[in-house]
Amino acid sequence: MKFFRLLAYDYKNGFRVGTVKLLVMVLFVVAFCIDFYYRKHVTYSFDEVIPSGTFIDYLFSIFAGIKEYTPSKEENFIIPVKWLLLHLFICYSTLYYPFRDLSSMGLNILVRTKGRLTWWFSKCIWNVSYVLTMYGVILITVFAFCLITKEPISLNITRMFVTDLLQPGDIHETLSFNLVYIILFYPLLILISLNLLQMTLVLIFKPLYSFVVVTVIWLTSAYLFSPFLPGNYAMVIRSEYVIQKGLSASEGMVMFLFLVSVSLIFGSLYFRRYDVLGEE
Amino acid sequence: MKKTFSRLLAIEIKKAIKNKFFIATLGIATTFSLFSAWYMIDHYRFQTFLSSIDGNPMTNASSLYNHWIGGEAMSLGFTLFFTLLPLIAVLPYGWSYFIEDKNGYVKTVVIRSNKWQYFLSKYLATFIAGGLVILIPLVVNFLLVASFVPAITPSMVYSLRYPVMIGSLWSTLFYTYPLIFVLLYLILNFIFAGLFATMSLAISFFLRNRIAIILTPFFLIMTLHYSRTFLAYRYYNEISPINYLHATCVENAANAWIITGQGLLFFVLTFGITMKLGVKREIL
Amino acid sequence: MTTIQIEGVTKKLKGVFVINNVSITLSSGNVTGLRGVNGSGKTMLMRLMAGLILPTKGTIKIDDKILGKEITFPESIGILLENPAFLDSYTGFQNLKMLASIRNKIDDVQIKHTLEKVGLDVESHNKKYKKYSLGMKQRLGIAGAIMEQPDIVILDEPTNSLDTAGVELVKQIIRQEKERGALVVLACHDTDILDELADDIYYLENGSLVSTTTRGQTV
Repeated sequence: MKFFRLLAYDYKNGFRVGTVKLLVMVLFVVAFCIDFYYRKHVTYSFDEVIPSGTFIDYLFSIFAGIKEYTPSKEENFIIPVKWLLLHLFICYSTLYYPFRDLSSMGLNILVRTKGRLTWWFSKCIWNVSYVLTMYGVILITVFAFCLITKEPISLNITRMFVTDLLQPGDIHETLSFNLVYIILFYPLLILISLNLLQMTLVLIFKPLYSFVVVTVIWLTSAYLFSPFLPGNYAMVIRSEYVIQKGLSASEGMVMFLFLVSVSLIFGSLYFRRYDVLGEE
Repeated sequence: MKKTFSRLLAIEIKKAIKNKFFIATLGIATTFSLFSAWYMIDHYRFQTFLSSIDGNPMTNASSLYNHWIGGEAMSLGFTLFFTLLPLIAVLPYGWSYFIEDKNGYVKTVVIRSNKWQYFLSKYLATFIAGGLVILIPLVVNFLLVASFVPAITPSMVYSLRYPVMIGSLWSTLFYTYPLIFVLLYLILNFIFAGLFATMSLAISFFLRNRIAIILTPFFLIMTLHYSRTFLAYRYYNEISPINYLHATCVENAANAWIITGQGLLFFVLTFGITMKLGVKREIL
Repeated sequence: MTTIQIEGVTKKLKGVFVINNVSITLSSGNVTGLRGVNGSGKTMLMRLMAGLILPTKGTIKIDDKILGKEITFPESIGILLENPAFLDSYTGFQNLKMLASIRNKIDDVQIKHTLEKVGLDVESHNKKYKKYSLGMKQRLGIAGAIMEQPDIVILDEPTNSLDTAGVELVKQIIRQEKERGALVVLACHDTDILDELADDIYYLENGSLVSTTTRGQTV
């Protein structure tokens, strides 16, 4: 079977399995947007006019995360549930299909491919495509929400919202336009890399325990402010473009490339000798 | 007939506890609880050292009751354990009915007993496995921390260190008989973890995908946790199990009525669905 | 003396008739054969007899007790339906022991005896089920059906995945079950086996009974 035919098969079947999840994601994002809209109204209720939130402000609020946590008896760690729910749901959405395709019908496909690597790379491309689609759904939903609520569709970040609603800590006086790129691309890049990592881990741990491992990575990243924990780069308010000692974008890119390379290389090597037992 | 049920229940409990998923999950959960214990014992020793250098030693401010995993909300161990609690509870045995139904094992069991007995024993075993996988790490953590940190009765003078607010569930006990308070919380955790596990069992009647069956309760509880955001500045009682299963307040005070109401709702839904649909369902 | 009376039974699943107005009476000490192409309703009829599914119309009586009303399942029954179904993480012996302990009628010695009877040697008793070959799984399935010496034995394609020696062994077991006085229901694609073992053979087509053979006599 030619690579592109295999990819077409993966697109068709993988997206069919994941359609409902795309719809659930729309509901989540609508809830996140209402949340931001509502918080804005509560926080500025004594102002003459409730300030408008732009398209990028809404996205920022979704991908913001939480500021660095310093453990103390006086301040509890509060999980960034919105941020976590979004990322974990996307990880869950890509968890089932590649694994399912290693049993039942998928075995017939596997033996018809020219080599194991063809099958593996096709699944990787499907995985990245699915995450991109999820991300597209998030952007479109926020866009539609802004249209409906007549919020401005622009890429101007409102600093006041960042200080009042997202509370990142030691924030810059002015926010660079580069921050827009961070908001638009970094959560996506980290999502792609951790989804690929999860797919590779499935070969070793089976899906549920791989999901647990990836969840631990996301949660630990929220708890520990560290350049070595990838989830930190998916928290926009920890970026160098938001706070004084924030995480550098270039290091984030290195992390992305590292995780993608490790997942692809390790996954390919491991899958070449992987025993396909057809267990579901 | 009664004897058949007790034998079936014994078999189910054995299957639920003596399986590799129970052991692996218990290992993971215990690791989280040990992380917390290690961090908090170290924290206590450091605090004691600082106090010994200068000023008020604040002896009553640090005790077992704000250093065990249910009393602290500052360590990574606490974060992982309580956030993943709904998932950990399901992993050992929540998937069992789905697998047995899929491979046809159910029919070999029901013809030797009956559907009612099968589903009741399945429900109880799932509940117990879910409860134990949470209870054991909590007990291990409590005992370990108790070996290093004294069990001084919490004092209201240090309210920031002991965040159990007035009107919060069993708050009077916390400041008078803290050990009973902890025991009650351990039971509460056992019950809710058991209920989370049975959610998967009930969901098995609607979904045909093992991963979805196991992860759906986790996402439902996370969504419930997120929904608190819409009550911000309006309602100050805790509605999320992830928070109220922690013995001291993480954000809002634990309310007895809300906890009882949610517990009953979870029970009625999971037990009702399992027994009603299970007994009604034809075994193909 | 055990009897199964199937009276005007119809079963509809998702709007499709899988069994259509079937009436048969079966009694102990006999081997009843069911024959038909794939999807003709043999397995469904066996499920109905076992009480796993209930008729849409008609009744099934086990010793004059209506299945699904007076009793949920036949009081003494052993089944092997389609594929053998056991738990992967337990050994063959542990799987049988677990099932046997529900009724608590037989002890470990009898379980081991049954395992040997179906041709599973001592070594395989302690092997995990997931490591069993298809043939071994099938033998274990047969052992599960007969170990408690039930009054009714339902075997659906018991010779699947078995080699020639295994098929002969199954034939021998069925004969022994008949001699013991059990009511045996057997579905098999191999016409020779059915002709050789069954006292009555019922032919099913699209869920309906089309003809009956009683030891060389077609009705």
